[in-house]
Amino acid sequence: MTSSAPSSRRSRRDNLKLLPPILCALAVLCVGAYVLSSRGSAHTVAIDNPDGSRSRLNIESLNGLELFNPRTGRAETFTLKAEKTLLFFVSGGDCPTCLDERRVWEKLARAADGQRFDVVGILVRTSPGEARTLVKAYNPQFTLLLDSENRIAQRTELPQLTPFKFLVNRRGEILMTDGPNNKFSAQEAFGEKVAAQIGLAQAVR
Amino acid sequence: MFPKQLATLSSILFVCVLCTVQCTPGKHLAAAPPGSAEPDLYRPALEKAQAQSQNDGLASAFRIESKLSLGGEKIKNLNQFRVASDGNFYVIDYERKQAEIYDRTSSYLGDLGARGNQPGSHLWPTDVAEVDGKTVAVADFQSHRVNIFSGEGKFLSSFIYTPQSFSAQRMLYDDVSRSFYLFGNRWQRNSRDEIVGAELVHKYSADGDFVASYLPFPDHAKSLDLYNYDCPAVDINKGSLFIALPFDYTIYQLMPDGKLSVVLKAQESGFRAPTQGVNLEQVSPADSYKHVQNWRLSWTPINAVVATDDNLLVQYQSFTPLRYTIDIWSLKTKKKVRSVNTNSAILTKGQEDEIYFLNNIEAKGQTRYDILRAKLKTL
Repeated sequence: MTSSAPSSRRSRRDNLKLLPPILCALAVLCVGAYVLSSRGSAHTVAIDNPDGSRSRLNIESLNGLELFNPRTGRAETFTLKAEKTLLFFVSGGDCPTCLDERRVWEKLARAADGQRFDVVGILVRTSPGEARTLVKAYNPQFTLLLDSENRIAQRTELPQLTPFKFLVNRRGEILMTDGPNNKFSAQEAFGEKVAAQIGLAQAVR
Repeated sequence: MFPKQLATLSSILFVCVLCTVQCTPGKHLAAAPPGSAEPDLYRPALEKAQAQSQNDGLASAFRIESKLSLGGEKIKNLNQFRVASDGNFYVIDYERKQAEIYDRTSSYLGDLGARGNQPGSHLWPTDVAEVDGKTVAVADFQSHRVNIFSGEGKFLSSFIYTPQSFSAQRMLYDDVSRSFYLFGNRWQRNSRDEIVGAELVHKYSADGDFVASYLPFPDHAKSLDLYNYDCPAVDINKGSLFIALPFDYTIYQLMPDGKLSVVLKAQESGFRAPTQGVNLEQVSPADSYKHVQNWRLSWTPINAVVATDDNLLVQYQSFTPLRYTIDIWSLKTKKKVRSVNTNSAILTKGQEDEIYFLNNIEAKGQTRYDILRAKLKTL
């Protein structure tokens, strides 16, 4: 005479007891997966666009990209060399008050040594002639590169609205992001946050 | 029995609905949003003007040479209409935010640029101009860019005007000096970053290099805060730019060398300047258009200026009761030759000083846009 019936009942009972924690774990995994997929990994950020679409921008994928330097007139290979880089995308069609934010970038660029911290702007959706207009008008004191061949779009998805800013580390991990701001107070606020992140003693205000 | 029961049920239902409407606490008694009680003065004025169309005086001063029609199935708001040297027409539709080409038979040929914010595309085209008789430029208000296309619509080049910090409401191209003129508020700020004025006219070379800004916003209009209503009426003749602001019957002339002067200032005319500004803060968004139109009825906004070798035409919305008045001035004597009242709005001047009029009472929502090609009679 076997005792399989009672032991199977006990086993089933034990299994049933495990069900709630398993379900909880599954729920946590599902929620976590959803959150990560909507927010992206450390290298990827999901940006909501005005038309309701979402751009998934991967900064790491830009390493090694051939871009054009409108100031020197030469091609340059984009690489994240510094420990932290303030990287931003701008376009010639950006709202003029949004481009006033370059004053904050200039202030941060004064702290840039290329190793600990750097400031790099990439012009997108802009023709070479338009890039020259911007360089001539603003004479930016930070590295400004031009993606005139739309090469970035072949590797990742750009946000519709620019200027869009990212503080990234050497591995391309995104530490902070900020979208277009046409209010100077908001522009300065982001600059302050970046300054704090890079240990800049002097405020950008 | 059934009809009786049905009648009883209907009565009960009716009473319930009535009670619900009457007794719902506060909802139907909520205060009307500000402005919702504002009467619509504009539409009755349009209807009255249209009813008086048999008194239209256009033909007394202009010789109508031909008519053409553009289909309203495509065009929702005919904002700009320009004539190319090859006889094609360029149209800006404000509502669809599109620039288009039509041939001389009014057949749609294609778009000038796609929607977007990269070179060759636009987000909000506001004006179009033929360049050197062979290419066509489209100004974008939102992307701060001028795109240049071939006559067939192929993208050729672009330039941005972003560094000058304004948005172009209008654009002209001068073949004589090979210059673009863009119009928009380039703000002037004081040390506290407060707006103290604006420059309104901005000149660029044919390659898009900025040359200079001209025409400061008039001091007398600052107190009424008319910056949002300063889209100018402009025309070019032999290298000279003629400009009128809607709220001021002062016609400026900007010479190719940058010299700006007043060519005439009307003392006696049917024109009325605004005496108060428009305040939309107390108006619900749904009523803002009506409120602005009603405000515009309290004065006579200048909507067009045409300059020929001998004459200057100034059109303003007068509702006399016809919608517009056109004052015809002699540029030689600086005296008004005559005025005509008409429901037709001046659209543009052609290559041979012919003038194109919109023969509809309004520029939007028409099933067909009727355009008259006319020449000013010798007066």
